[in-house]
Amino acid sequence: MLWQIFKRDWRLAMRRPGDALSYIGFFVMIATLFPLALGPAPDKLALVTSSIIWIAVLLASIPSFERLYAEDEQSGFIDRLFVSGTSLGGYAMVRVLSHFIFMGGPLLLTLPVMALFFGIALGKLGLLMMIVAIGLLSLTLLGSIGASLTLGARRSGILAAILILPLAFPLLIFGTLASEAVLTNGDFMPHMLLLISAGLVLLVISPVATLYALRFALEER
Amino acid sequence: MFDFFANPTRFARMARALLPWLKLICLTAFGFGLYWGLVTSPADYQQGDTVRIMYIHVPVAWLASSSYFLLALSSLFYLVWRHPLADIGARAIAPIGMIFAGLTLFTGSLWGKPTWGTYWVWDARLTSMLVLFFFFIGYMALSNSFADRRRGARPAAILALVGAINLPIVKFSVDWWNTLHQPASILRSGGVSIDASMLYPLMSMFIAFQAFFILIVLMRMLAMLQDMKQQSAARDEVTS
Repeated sequence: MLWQIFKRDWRLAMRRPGDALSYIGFFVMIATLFPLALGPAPDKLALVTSSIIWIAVLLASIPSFERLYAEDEQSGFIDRLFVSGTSLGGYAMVRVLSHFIFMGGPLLLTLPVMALFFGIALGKLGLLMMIVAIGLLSLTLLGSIGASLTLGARRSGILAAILILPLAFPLLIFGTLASEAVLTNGDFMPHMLLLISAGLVLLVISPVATLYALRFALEER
Repeated sequence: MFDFFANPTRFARMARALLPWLKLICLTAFGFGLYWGLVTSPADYQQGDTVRIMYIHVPVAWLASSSYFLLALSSLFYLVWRHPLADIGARAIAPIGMIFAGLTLFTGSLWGKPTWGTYWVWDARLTSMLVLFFFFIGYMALSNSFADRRRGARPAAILALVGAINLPIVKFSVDWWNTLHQPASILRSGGVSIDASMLYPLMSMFIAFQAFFILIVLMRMLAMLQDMKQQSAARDEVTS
């Protein structure tokens, strides 16, 4: 059943490439704001490159989480899963995974553009992409909590952002420090391991929190 | 014990009986604490009279963190035992915790200006308190954003628990970030021993703020119970 849901998400993503495109577009636009606001001097930008990338990832991703569950809830899909006895926690993790692959994947592929924009050596790109990928997956786990808790709420978009952002501070800190270390040829391992462990904690919390949040949202409609 | 307090009328009766005592403790402790703190306690040999901000700042900071702990605890009670008073308790605590966290930041920055020369530094402890402030804002935003008040209770309780699990991680990450970005921290680490002339006013203010906190939470809970009672009475009137 979970595999069926994944295949459905795959087909939907193929049929609606606009979703991922607008997500990437937003990401690149946020990154463009920084040189415009800071000035074009390359040495100045080099100091804040990893911060720019991470803030752009964070800000572009948060609105995208709203569609993790909203459509399925409105169409009654989650109700039917619940009635059919499919694990809602498993469903949530499939949604997180397909969001990561079909939205996060294209975003990771635009990182070479960032490398051109901010003069990142191509040899460092692989490591950078890996670190951003870990952060993005963890962030999506967090987004799952925020999106499911705000189902049916007023102003759910901005509300989810308020809930997710403070919880995402550890990811932002470890992520920027690790990428910074990669860009400056420093020791990135300690920061990256901490980023991974923060992600693993979220991997434990997120399915449980999302499961109950979805169930409560169904019960009280 | 849970069953005993599950009856809202019994809870309300006991809370009302407690209120005058709490007011008495609160006023007495504030009286002694403020007198000792502002008049009899000595000025610090380095900081002068600004050290007296401590008698407000420290108790308020302590209460801000412990109110998040209490918020998470009552949320857990609410989720596990569906205890109706636990949700009311959590809702009663949240704004007070937010105000205490805000007061901590405010008094801290007033204290920071004369001692550190700046109202704000991105110190690990300041940043953690700011994050705590954000957590309270998130809780209140979520619990009040559903058309039916009761609908927000369980999502908000989940959020409080997720926040409680994440709080140590945030604190650790902020420490990690801070030690790397700011090697010379302004706040001294390690306990500073404190003289009895300053300890007594501080303890007294602790008791005063603690009593104040319990007093306000109980009063808010009583008000919410009354509000719920009136709303259900209004509903009954419409339906009958």
